Amino acid sequence: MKVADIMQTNLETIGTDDSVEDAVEILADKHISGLPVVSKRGQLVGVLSTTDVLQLLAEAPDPERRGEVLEGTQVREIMTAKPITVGPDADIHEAARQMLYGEIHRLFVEFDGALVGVLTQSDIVAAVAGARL
Amino acid sequence: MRVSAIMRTNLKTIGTDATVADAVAVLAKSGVSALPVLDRNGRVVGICSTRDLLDAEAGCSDALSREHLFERTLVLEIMTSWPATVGPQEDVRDVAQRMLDGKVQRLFVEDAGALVGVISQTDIVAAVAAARV
Repeated sequence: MKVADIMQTNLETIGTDDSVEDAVEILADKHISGLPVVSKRGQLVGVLSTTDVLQLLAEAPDPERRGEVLEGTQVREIMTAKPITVGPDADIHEAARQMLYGEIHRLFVEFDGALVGVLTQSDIVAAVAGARL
Repeated sequence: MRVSAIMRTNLKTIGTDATVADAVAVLAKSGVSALPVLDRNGRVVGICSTRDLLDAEAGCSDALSREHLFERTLVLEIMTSWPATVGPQEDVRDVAQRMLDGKVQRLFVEDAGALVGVISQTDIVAAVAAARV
């Protein structure tokens, strides 16, 4: 089975200059754990995950001002740059190995330099549940 | 394959009297995405995940309400109460389906009323990577 068979193509994205607070709203609203960060030209430049947000909160120098940190921080400051990507024709087992080695919950799928989808751990779990793997 | 073959048994936990700030610190430090919440007798009464924290944060309208959330709110108030659990002898495919149905990243494993482990989507992906599924 290939990545293209089970990847999701309906993606939420966020811009590099948007605030972390905006990102948290999308993460909470859409119930997703990671957002692809795209440049003004629409290219994938990073990923912002719930873990990144948690680290920001945990490392806030002044606990009293923790509430302001989310509004005052731009996505680009805490995103993970250059996320690992995979091609749509890659094998699912290989993609699973890449997730484990990279300690990540999702792989973005690029084709010809364009972001075309995302493969999450849940997509693989769904394939297992459906006995398709 | 049964749950006991791939579940993890070294668990980070937190008490019902911990604050949200305490939970943020433990989650960030331990690198896990959810903590079982135990009462004084060591029984699991809930789960506090990064998802619960971000949902609570997204519900705050200003810096003051966020400070109140972090410093004066107990984990007990934002945790997911009485989480679904699985047994160590259950089939991984069934558990995979329950994770998807419940929209959860992990399920805690109870045996005769005692917390014995946790199985996450990552553990299932690892089994796929190793071609054990």
